[in-house]
Amino acid sequence: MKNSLHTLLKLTNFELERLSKFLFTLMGLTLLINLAGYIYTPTQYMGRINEYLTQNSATADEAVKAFGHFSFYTVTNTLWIGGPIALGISGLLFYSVFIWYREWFGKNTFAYRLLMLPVSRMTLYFSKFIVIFIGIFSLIATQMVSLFIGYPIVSAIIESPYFRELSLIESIQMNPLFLFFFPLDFGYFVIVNGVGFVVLLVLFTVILMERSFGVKGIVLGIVYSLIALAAVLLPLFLPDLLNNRYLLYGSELMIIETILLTTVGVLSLFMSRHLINKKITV
Amino acid sequence: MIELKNVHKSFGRKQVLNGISFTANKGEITCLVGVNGVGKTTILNAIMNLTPVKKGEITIDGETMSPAMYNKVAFIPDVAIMLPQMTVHEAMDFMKDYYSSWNCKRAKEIVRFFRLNMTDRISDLSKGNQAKVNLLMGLALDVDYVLMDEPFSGIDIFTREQITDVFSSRLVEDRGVLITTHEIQDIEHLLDKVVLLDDGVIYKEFNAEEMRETEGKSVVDVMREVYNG
Amino acid sequence: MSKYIKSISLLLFITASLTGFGLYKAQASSPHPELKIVTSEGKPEHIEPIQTLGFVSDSQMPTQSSTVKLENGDFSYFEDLPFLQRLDFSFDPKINDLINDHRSFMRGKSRLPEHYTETEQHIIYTGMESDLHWNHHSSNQMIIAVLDKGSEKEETYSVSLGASGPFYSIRATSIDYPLLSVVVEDFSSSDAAETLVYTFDIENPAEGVTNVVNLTEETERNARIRLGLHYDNTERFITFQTVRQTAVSNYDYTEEISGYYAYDTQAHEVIDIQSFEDIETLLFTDNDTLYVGKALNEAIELYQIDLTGEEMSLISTIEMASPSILHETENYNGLFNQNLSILDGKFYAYGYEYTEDIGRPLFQVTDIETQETLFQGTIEPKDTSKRESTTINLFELQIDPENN
Repeated sequence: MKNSLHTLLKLTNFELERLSKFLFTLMGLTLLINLAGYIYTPTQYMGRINEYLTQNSATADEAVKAFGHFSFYTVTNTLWIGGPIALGISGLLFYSVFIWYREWFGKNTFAYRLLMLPVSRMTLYFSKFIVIFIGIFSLIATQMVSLFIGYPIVSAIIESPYFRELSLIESIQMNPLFLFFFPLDFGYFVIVNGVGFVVLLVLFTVILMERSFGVKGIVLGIVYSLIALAAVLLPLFLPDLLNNRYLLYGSELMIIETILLTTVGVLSLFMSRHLINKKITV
Repeated sequence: MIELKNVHKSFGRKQVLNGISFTANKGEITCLVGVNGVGKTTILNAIMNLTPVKKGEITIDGETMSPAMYNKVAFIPDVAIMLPQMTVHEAMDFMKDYYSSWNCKRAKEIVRFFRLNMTDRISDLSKGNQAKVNLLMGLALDVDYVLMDEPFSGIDIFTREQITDVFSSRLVEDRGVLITTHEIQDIEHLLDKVVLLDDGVIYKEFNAEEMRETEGKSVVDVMREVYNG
Repeated sequence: MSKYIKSISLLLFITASLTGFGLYKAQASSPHPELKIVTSEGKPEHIEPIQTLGFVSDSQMPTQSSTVKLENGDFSYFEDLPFLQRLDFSFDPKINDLINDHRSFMRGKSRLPEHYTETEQHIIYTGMESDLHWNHHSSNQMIIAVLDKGSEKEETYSVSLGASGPFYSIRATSIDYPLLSVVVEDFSSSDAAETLVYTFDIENPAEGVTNVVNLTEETERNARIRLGLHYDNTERFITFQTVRQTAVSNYDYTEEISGYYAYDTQAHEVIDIQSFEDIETLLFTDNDTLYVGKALNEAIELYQIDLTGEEMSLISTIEMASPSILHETENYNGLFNQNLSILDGKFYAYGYEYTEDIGRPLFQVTDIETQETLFQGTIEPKDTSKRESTTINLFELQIDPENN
């Protein structure tokens, strides 16, 4: 047990090393694009205010009436923040596929080495899985840190009559994007991560199916993911199937959803174990 | 002893192995020969659990393949299997990290034997040197069996000579070696057993030396008989 | 060790950021503005029977809005409820209370407050099958479920209403135990819906439902019937108005109230009530009494009326906290007087008090006998300077008879 944990640690570290360049690029891009937003958006607002003031010889109050107050929320609601988040999600989704296929394609076939390591092949699987989650959380942490850096920058650029005193946490809580990615609401955070967890497990299973059975595996993978999708969407249709919208309470549907997600997750895990141990081919 | 019993394998509709049974013993060099596509690599992959077989049984010293067995059997495929961005040194470190059977002393000996530069990146190496790195990764393991897939394919004559020397060196001494190759003439004199494959079945299994002594035929002669006639 | 430096740094970075964020969030205040009840007259405890739900929003930040609940004089935000409780939350205070107290009974039953009546001993649910799922849209089956609050025993009856095929909608229910009165809108007639009153004897369920009165026939065939909103549903009378709708274009119509009535659930009769000329007439009921109100500019003259609907006697003149309450009388969901009602001798009213374009919910509770203002006040953000653009809009209101 201790030995396999140590191997998992080593392999995870190895996989993380391989991810690091890509991850650091994503983290860097997030910080850079965010920073540009922290500077550009308020500067542009102040530019408009100043132009209005000089052209109309207006007072600050009049300018506020014309353009509204500026708060940190205004910045968090722009593509300067949303863009890197979307980039991070798509980047890691791409990497989740790439993390397997890179072992087969190209001049070198590292899959041989990995599959011939004297460790349980599931250790290999888990190391890849954990690394994706470390990637996700690294980006979340980067976004958090970035907001802490951005708040004083925005406050410094916007002159006080135009700045709407909204604390950082208020600005964050107002943005629905952060509700899903930040631990603002425990329930949402668990659900979002739980769904992400299961999606990744299913994706890995589909990839292993393809790596095991080729084209037949792709068809099998699509069928499996559709079945998994139907299973986890069942609670949405359950009230219709029962012909009564009120037979189950929302919380009960959520518990059923959790059980289904867990089932799909565990099933995917077992399937992956079977595939990687018995069916995979180099 | 590596033992294959009635092994079947197909790719789609194509039956590649059709009831293959043979043994490869420790302390012997066994060679799988056959034309391209006859299933030689598939057999090695199947032994290493790198491709599943449809039917049949494969055991190594009576046990089926498990992760722990990778410390007992080494496989040297004919493609580079370490990350190209690794240096030779890093590749060795990687092996040391995961294989309890990794023998550092022997690894260094092999590096010297092949005259490899430890700081070179694998991607910068010539094909011949990449093949040497592959051999290094397999031969530096204290294993009972070594499986080699086409160790001479696509490499220059000098490297080939160097690799041939491996077979007569103590690097393979006492081990069971299972090798597939086209370039049979270079190592023919070193072989103990030859397994001739044709059309998914074993056409002939014989002792190379006995064949030479009793029938006066080389392995290539036998191959010629099979594939030309 | 140096091999692990990147991994350790990343993990430390993640842990530090998440912990830091968690600590920051824990010490930071809620994003929802704290609200307070500002009492300008009377005592704040008199607002306790009022349960209300409202939207708290900010004109400066349109994406931020939250739902606030006022119950027993305390405010709580929907967003602050535990995750699973939020999923079971009903945006109707009465239904919400019923779910909290009788979760098992409420399972599989519709979520419309008018489908529930409550006595000290029983809760009675009356709903159509069509209220449960669109698959049953043409069902004529009415389900009546009675919960004995003492024994927690539930009896369910399924009774047929007329022919199947048309759509039936239960508009109101009222209980004079064991007699249940159900006001049903029947869409079987092709030209216009008819409103019928059915009775059901809970103690003699075998007799089924009896159609006692056709309110449409008793009043005005071509008018719509709009019911008075009652919070108790144990009152003897069900008040209603007839409304004539005249189309002015394909998309618009005008309305005119053509009559005021009350259905007597004991005598099974419709009482025609005289309205005031050229002045708005308000209609109330409380326990066994019927009232009409004359909506003056800043007060209501409240008259008690006899069972013929003709004799009326002035019993009270209630000064309104703001004239806007009277002119904001709300009519939606086919109901009237949503913001004015009388419950056990207390007159409840709510509206909005406007200061500098911002409306604040305004409540008034007056004893109709003594004309004493028991409570008058508004709901406002605690920190008005920071929350000057915060608006509070009430969207559901219920007066809890048990708490009154």
